[in-house]
Amino acid sequence: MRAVFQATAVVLALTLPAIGAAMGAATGPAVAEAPLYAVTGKVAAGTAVAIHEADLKAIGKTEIITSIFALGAGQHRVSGVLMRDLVKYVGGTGENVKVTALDGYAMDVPVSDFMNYDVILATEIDGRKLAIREKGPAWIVYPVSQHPELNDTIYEARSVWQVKSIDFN
Amino acid sequence: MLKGLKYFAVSILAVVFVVITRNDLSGIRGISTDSAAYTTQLAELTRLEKEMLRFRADAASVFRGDGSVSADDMRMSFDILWSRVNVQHVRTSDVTLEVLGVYNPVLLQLSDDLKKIDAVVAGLKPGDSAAWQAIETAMARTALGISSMTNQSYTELNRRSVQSTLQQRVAIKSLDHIVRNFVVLILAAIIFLLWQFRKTEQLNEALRQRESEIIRITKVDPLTGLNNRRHFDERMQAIDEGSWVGNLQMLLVDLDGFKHVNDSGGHAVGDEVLKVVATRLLAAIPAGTLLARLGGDEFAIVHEGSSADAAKTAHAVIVGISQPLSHSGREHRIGASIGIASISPDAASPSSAMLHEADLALYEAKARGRGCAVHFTELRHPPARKPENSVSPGAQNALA
Repeated sequence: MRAVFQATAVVLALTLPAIGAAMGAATGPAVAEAPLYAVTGKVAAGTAVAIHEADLKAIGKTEIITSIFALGAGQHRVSGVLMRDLVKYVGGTGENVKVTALDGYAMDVPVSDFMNYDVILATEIDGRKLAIREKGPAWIVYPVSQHPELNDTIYEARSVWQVKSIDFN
Repeated sequence: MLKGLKYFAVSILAVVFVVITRNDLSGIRGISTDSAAYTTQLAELTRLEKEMLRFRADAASVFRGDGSVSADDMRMSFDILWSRVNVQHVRTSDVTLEVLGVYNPVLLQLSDDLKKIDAVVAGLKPGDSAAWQAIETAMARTALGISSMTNQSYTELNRRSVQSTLQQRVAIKSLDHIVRNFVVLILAAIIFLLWQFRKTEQLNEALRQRESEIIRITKVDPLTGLNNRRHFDERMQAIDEGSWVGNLQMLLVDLDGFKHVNDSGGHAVGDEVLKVVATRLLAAIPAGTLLARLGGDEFAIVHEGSSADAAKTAHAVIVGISQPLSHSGREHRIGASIGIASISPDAASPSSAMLHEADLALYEAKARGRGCAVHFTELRHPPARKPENSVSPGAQNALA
C-alpha cells in the first residue's frame, strides 16, 4: 500500500494539473484506483497516461515462462502486458522509450525490441503481485529462455525493474 | 602437368594462410570479458550504497521531524534498499568463490539487519531515539559491509583488468600478424598474376611473330625477297575493288639474255643473277612503288604518276639492269624489255585491262629488239609501224 501511495504521487506530478486535482479531490477511493506506472511523451492522448490495474485488463494480460535476469537460472511465471500492446494502447510513437525506475535508474529501450520479441511489462511473477521489495510495481522482462540471443548484457541493462515511467521521445 | 603444379602451390599457400590465421584468431578470441561482470558488480554496490545513504538520510529527517521527507517516502526508500540486497544475492552467481567468501556473510548480515529493523522503520516517529538508534546501528554495520565488498570487487576487477590488458596486447600482436600475412599473400598473388601476365604477353608476342612470318611466307618470293605473285594479285584486286586508286602506271619487266645465263651457268647462277636483279630493281624504282616477281624472269612494277613518270622508271630500270654483272669469275650481260600501260578506270576490271595492255606492250618491246620500253598507247597509233622511232630514248641508251 505504501508503494501504491508513492506511485500515485509520482503520476500526479507527471499528469496535467487538472487530472491531478481531480484525483487529489477523490482522496479515499483514489487510493484503490492508484496507477501502477505512467506513460509520457509522444502518445495519442498528447499528455501523460496513468496505467491502472483496469488498463492492464483492457490491454490484455499475457503470461510467459522464462528465466529472468537478476533472479538466477530458475524459470518463472511472468505475467503482465506485452510492451507492444502497451505501445498500441497508448498510441506511442518514436524509436525509443526512456524507462525510468523508482530509484532513478533510467535506460533507453528501442521500440523495435517490443516488435521483435514478446517483451512483457510484468506486474506479477509466480502468481505474486510485485511489491517494491520484489522489484515492483512493474518490471521489463525479456523472453530470454525462448531467445538465447537475448542473454546479453545489453538486454540485461534494458530489463528495468521498479518501473515508474515510460517516456516516448 | 605445370598447370596442376600451379594450382597445388596456390592451394598450399591458401592452407598455410588459413592455419596461421587460425592461430592468430584464437589469440584474439582469447580476450576474456569476465572483468565486465566485476564492473557491473561494482555498479550494483554503488547503487546499494546510494540507496543505503538515501534511506539513512530519510530516516534521519523523519526522526528529526523536519518535514522535508514524509514517513511514506522514507519507507519507500527502505523498500528500494531491501530490493537492492536481493540483487546483490543474485549477482554473486557471476563472481568467483573468493569474492563470495566476502560477499555472503556481509549480505546475510545485511538482510538480517533489514528484517530486524523492518518493524522499527514502519513505526519510526519523530524523536523516537530508541528506534533511530536501532536503525543507525544497522546502517553503520551495512556501510562497513558495503565497504568490504567494494574493496573485494575493486581488487578482483584490477586483477582481471591487468590480465585483460595482457590479453589485448596478444590480440593486437595477432592482428598485426594477420595483416602482415595478408599483405604477403596479396603481394604473392600480385607477383603471380604479373608473372602470368608476362608469360601471356610473351606467348602473344611469339604468336604475332609467327603470324607475320606466315604472312611473309605467303606474300614474299623466297629467292629474291620481293613480293610474290600472290601479293601482286591481291594488290590488283585492291585496284578493282577501288581501295587503291590513282593514276596508276604498270611496267612489266622481262629480262633479256637470262635464258642464256641459266643455260650456260646453271640454275644456281641464274638464282644469283635474279637476286642481283632484284636489288637493282629496288634501287631503280621510286618510293611507294609496288614491285613483284611474277615468276621466272618476269617482274611487275606499279606506281602512281604520269606516263612520262613511267617512262622515267622504265629508263632507270633498263639502265640499272644493263650494268655489267659478274658472278663466280664470269661476267654476265643481261638487259630488260618493258611493256608499259596506264590505268583505264572505266574498264570492267581495270587491273586485268592494264595487265593485258602492259603484256601486249612488252610483246611489242621484245619484237622491237629488246632492251627497250614500249607504252601500250604506242601500239594503237601509227608510230608502231616504225619500230626504230618507237624505241624510247632511254631504251636506246640502254642498248648502246
